[in-house]
Amino acid sequence: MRVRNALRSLAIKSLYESLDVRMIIHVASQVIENYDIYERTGCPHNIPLTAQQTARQVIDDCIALDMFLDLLEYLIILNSRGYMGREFPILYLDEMIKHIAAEGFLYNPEINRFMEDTTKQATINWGRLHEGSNYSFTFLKIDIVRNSEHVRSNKKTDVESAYRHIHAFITNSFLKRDGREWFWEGDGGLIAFFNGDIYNNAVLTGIDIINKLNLFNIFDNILQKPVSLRISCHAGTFPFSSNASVIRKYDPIREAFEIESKHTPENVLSVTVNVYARLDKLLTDSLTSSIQCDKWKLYYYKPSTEFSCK
Amino acid sequence: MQIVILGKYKKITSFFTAHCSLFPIENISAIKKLKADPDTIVYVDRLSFSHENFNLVLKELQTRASLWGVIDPKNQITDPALLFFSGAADYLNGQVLEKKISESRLQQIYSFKTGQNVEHIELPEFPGWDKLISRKEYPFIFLIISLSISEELKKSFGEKRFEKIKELFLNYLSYVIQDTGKLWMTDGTYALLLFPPEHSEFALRIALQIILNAIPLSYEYYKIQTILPMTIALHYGTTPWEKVGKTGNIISADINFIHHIIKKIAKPGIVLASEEFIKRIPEKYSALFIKDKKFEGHDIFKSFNYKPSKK
Repeated sequence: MRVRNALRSLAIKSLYESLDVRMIIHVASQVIENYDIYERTGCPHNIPLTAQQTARQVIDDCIALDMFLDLLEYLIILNSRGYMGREFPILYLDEMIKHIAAEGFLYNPEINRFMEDTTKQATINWGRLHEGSNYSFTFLKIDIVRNSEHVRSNKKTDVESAYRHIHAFITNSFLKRDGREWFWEGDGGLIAFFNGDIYNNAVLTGIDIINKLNLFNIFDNILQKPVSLRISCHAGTFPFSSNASVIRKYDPIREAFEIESKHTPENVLSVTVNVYARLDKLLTDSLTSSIQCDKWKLYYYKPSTEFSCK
Repeated sequence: MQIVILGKYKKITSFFTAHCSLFPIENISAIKKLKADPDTIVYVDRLSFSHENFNLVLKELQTRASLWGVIDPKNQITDPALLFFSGAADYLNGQVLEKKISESRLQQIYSFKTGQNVEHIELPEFPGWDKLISRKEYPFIFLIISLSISEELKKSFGEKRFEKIKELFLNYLSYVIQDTGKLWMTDGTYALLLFPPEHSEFALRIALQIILNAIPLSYEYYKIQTILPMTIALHYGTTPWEKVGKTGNIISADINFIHHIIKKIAKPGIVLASEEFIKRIPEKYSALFIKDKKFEGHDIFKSFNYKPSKK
């Protein structure tokens, strides 16, 4: 996130007016691993640092390492919970949160995180992830089935328009749950979840997409035949990369591709056991019993929309 | 039923909302090419002919069409009854044309001439929500949605949570119907929504959307760990209009009927629709329904039964 001068100055002032040198260094060490203020400032250990100097160094280091928001998140916790039984009210917090909102990040108190305001921006790293650092994700691999058949039997403009429509409701569905599109290639792509309740959010997005596709086929489809999707939902931990070709090589992503293409029937969301195990009851109740597919134990969301014969 | 207009001016077809075609006549002999089957209504445009030629056309028409009428945009005919004595089935003067000629008038003509009863009552066109007149009868699409919650489930929610769910339920409906529909009657646990007759597709979309979105809605919106059971029915009929909140004294057979559907035969996960509604929607949508048992004299159709997954 871009930290403008006004916000930088305010953060420095907030630190040195709210905390002493020892606590400012404590805050920095909570955010930046092995933080050494003397190494950072170049001052010898025998020269005492003022709170103002320390605050300036800590803020500049956090900005340089793109960890300014992490620092603010810790300050918010410190302000509300204190440390070692002592209270530490942090000055100018609300004002700083407002500055950050203007840069496109909103504070979510439920998970104590600044999150991208998706009405303004939705970057593939949520504006927070660092290239090469390890994170846990859930993800959906989506594929439009029989793409070439649609292309052959319809006007090009109709196929483009239908796919745009499908892509639009998919986008709406994952953005609502703070997902990000890591790549999309016309007839399918990869959606990832990082913030918050990533297991339930990924499955809900998959369910929502399958249901919206049903409505699309009933009301909006201009193509000769109904459109079908296959979706797999999987989870894994790996280093973040903004390069799609790097991401594709990670094992969990390759597994999601394989599960989608080989073990997922049309118009079904398949969920791996890694995700299923962390789902809430309503969602596990909405999936089938486990199905063994090759080496995978999968759970399907396979809604019945058949006529009742009762 | 087809409509053919004999005349010179294409503009005359714009007075018909029902489909019609112009049979252009430059000279009288052209009428001999007209072939009208018994279901076709042939109108003659008085304005397109001189007095003498108009009479010739009428004479020819009496032998060529079983159903015919006269269009008189400038009210030139002083005694229209004479036309009926000669076998005419309809007469449309300037004032009648201005109101547009719809399918319902054609059914009345057919009924009048053939003696076959076509059940139809001419109702006013939907003028827009702000222009509806109190106590006047209008046609509407009715969509009724009811929370179908057992006492046991209600208990498990707790009173406070249940009140919140009811509030969220009505807020959601108000949101999805936008300005197109009206949340007309409710006691908190059910809602009767009205839509203008031409918005049958929109009403159907909302009904199916509510059923298909049951999981995300329950989990994310109502924040409960079970699918909120709802019963849904669609009907097309009439009711006297009153503003929201003043509907206590309304007497309407259609309103009673749709309430009875919900109370007596509706089941969660299925959309029920009356025959009257099914007739209003394009055929591709009626394929979403299959015929069920008759209820209170109406044919009832039911949609697919949505179940998240089979364990």
